[in-house]
Amino acid sequence: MENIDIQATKGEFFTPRVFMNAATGECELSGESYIEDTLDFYRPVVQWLEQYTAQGLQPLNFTFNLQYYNTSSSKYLLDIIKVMKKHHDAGGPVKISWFVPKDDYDMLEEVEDYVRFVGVPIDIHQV
Amino acid sequence: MTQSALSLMEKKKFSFYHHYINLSHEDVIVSYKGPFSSTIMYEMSKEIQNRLVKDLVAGKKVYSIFMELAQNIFNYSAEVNKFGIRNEGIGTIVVTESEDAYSITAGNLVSRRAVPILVDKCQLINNSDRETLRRLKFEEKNRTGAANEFSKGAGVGLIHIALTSAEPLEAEVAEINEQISFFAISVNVKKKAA
Repeated sequence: MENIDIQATKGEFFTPRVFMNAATGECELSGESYIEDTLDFYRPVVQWLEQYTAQGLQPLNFTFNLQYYNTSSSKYLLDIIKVMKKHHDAGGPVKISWFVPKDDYDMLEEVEDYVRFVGVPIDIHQV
Repeated sequence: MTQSALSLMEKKKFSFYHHYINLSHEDVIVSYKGPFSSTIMYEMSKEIQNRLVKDLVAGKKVYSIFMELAQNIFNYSAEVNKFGIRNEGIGTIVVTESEDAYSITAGNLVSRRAVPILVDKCQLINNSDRETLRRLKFEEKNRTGAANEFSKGAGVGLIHIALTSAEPLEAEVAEINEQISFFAISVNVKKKAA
């Protein structure tokens, strides 16, 4: 498996930085997510995770550090979390960290709801 | 439905003076009518961010609501500009500031058949408490496939707007003809307590 290494772009649309390390299972999504073709951007990310977790019970550490994302992006963030939940339930070591901007109580609430409704632990840090 | 639908609209005399007076009751942050190109959306969103740095909590809310409403127009307006291979939705958006709140209002043409779906959605949202809305938002995001023929986003946007504003959604509908109606939605964001 290969790493995913995409630099963030800022223009009329914003795409986040994506780094996914196939050797260590360290993954990071950071920046802002308002993308012209959201499905096109996130499909390879979700597929990478499905492939990675299919290889066995390797560790998976995912860090979300997003200042803004739109609701179309949030559907795919949930898809990412669901793959990790599956890995977690299968017995794989999963760690999810989520950095929430300190003024953004709505994002905080949404991340808390992923914990409640998906049933996966997330370390939430307000920064 | 494209611009041909518009030619069916009754041509009323437009008074720029009345338009100006209508927008003069509150301080206008941005006001726009036209095609929602990504350039225009970007410039308006930057203006909102710059003007609201003094109140970051409310500022983030107004920005997030603006982005969802603008993207709705861009993606779903029944009136479109054919610009190269891309269709840009046409609509209108106004962001104003009063003493204690910001107000975001967006409107565009929609298929008349979409109106009851939108109005029911707004009523459902306004009749739900915050906990119900949080659960509903999660369920809609979790759904695979489109919610209905008019929305690929499964209506997460409206729930997000209601949760972000923490105020009721106000909807306005004007019938234009048998195929097309005008649909507008307005929502407030309270300023931080002084």
